[in-house]
Amino acid sequence: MDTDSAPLHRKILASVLVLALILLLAGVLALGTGPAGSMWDRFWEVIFHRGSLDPMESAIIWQIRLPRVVLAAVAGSTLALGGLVFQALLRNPLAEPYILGISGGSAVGAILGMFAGLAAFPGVSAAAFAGSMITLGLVLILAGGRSPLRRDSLILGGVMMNAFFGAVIMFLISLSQDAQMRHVLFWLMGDLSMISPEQTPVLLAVVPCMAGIFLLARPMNLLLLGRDTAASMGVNVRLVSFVLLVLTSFMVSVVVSQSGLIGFVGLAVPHIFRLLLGPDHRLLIPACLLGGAAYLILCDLAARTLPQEGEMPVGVVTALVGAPLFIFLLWRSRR
Amino acid sequence: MNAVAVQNVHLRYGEQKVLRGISCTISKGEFFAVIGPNGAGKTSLLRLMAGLISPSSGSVEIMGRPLKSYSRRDYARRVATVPQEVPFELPFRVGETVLLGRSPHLGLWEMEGNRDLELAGQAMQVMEVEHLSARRLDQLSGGERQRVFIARAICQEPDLLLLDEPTASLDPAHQVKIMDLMDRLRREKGITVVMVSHELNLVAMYAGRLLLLHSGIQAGLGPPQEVLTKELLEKSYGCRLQVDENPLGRVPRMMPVPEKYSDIWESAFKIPGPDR
Repeated sequence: MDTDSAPLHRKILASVLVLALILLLAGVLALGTGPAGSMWDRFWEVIFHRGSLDPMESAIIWQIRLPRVVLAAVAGSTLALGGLVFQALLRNPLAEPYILGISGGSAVGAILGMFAGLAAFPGVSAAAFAGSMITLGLVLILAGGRSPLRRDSLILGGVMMNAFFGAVIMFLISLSQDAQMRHVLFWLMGDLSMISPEQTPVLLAVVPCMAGIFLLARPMNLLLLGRDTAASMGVNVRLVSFVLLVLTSFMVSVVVSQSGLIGFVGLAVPHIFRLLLGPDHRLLIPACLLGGAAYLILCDLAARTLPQEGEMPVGVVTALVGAPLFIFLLWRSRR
Repeated sequence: MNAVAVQNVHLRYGEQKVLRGISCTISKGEFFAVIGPNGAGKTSLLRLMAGLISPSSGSVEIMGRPLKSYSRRDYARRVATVPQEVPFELPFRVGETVLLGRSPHLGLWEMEGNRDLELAGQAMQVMEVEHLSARRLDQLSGGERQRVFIARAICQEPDLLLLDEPTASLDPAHQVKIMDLMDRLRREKGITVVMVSHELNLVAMYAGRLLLLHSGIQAGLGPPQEVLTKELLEKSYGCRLQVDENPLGRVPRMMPVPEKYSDIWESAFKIPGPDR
C-alpha cells in the first residue's frame, strides 16, 4: 500500500469502525431502555436467550423496540445522506430534504396514496416518491436562474412548500376518519413508533439507493468545484445530478411514509462530520450513514424517555437540535 | 498535427447567434489567445473547445480527432479547462483540490496512488503553490487561488490547456506571474495553451497568435502585429485607441483614449476631426 494515500484509507476505516461501534452502543442502549422499564438487569439474557424469559419482556424488545430502533437507524442514515447529497448538488449548506420541502411532498403523496387505498408497498411508497419528485421539480424551478438570490430563493421556496404541505396534511387528515391514516402529529413532527415488524422489510428499499449514492462519491467531490469544472473533468453532470436526485428522493419518500416528517437530521449530521472529517465525500458518505443512524436512535431514545408521561414525537428532538444549527449556519453564510 | 482545428463553427442560442463561421487551427505547443469585446463569443468558443457545449454547425477537432468521438473521461485526460467562475466557498484544501485533477485517470472508487500524489506535487511546484498545500482555499488571495486551479488542471496531465480570463481581477504582479508560468508550461512541457483574455497588452507579449472576435464574427487571426492594429481594434472594441509599439518584444501596445485627452490625441496623431 502506498504510504501517502494510506491516510484516506485509514481515515475511512477508522471513522467507519468508530461510528459502527457508536451505532452498536446506541442500538443496544435503545433496545434496553423504554417506558416499560429499563431491563438492564436481565438485558443480556433477553438478547441471548430469547425463549427462556418472560414472554412479555421478550415481546417488548423484539416486537416493539427492535422495529423501532431499525426504523430510527434507517431513517437517520437516509435523511443524513439525503442532506449530504442535496448540499453537494445544490452547493447550499442549508439544503436538506425537510427544509427543501421534499419530505413534505412525500408525506402528502403518501397520505393521498393511503386515501386511494393503496398497499403500503409499493403503492404508498410510489405515491410518496411521486410527491417528492414533484416538489423537487417545483423547488428547483423556483430557485432557477442564475440570480445572486438563488441560494436564498432555494431555501425560501422550500420553506413555503413546507408551510403549504403542512396545511395540506392537516386538511387531509381532518377529512379522514380512517384509523389507518394515523394522527396529524405523526406526519408533521415524525414518529417512529408506528412501524410493525411486518412493515420493517419495506425499509430494505433504501439500500440500493444508498449503494448508488456511495458509488458516486467522487463525482460529488468534483461537483463542488462547479458544473463546468466537473464536466471538464469527465463528470456527466446532468446524468449524475439526475441519478443522485432520484435516488435521494426515492429513499427519503420510503422513510417518510414510515416515519412522518423528521426535520434537520440531514442538516445536523453532515455538518458535524464535515467539521470532523473534511469535505471528501468518500469519507462523508459512510460517516453519514452510520452516524445518522446512531444520531436518530439517540434522538428517539430521548423522545421516548425524557417526557414524564408518554412520549414526544422524535421530530421535536431533532428540531430542538437542528433548528438552532440552521439559524447559526444561515447567520454565518451571510457574514 | 493540430491541437485544435475549428472549422466554420456556428453557435446559436435560440434566436441569438453567438458564433458565426469561426475557423482556426491551433498548433501543438502554441500559445494562443482569444480576444474581443464583452459578449463577442470568446467564452462560448472556449466552452466549445472544452466540450462543454456543441456547435450548431461546423466541426471541432482536437488532436486530430473529432471532439464528438471522445468519451467524457477520455477527453478530460487530454484537455483541461480552467473556467472563469469557480464557486467561492470551497471546503477543500489546496493539496486536495490539486489532487482532484487526477479524477479522470482514476476509477469511481479508485484511491489516488503514489504516482497521483507525485503528479499533484509536481503541478503545485510548477504553479508555485506547494507551500500552500495544507491551506484552505478560502484563505488564499485571488492570485494564489487562480494558480491552485491551474495546478489542478495541470495535474490532469493535459496536452491542451484552456483558460478563461485567468488573470481577471488580479494585480499586475500576479497577472505576469500567471502568464510567465503558462509560457514556461508551454515551453517545457509542450502543452498547448489557449487563453481568453481582456489583457491585450499582456497577451501581445506572450501569444504567438491571436483570434479577435467581434459579435461572434472572426475579425482577425494571426500574430500580434497583424491582429492588434488600430483599425481592427477600434472597429471591434468601438472606442478610440492609441496603438504604439511596446519596446518589450516589439509587439503592439494599446491604450484606450479618455475623453479628456481626445484633443491632444487628435492633434498629436493627426486624426481627422470630431466627425469621426
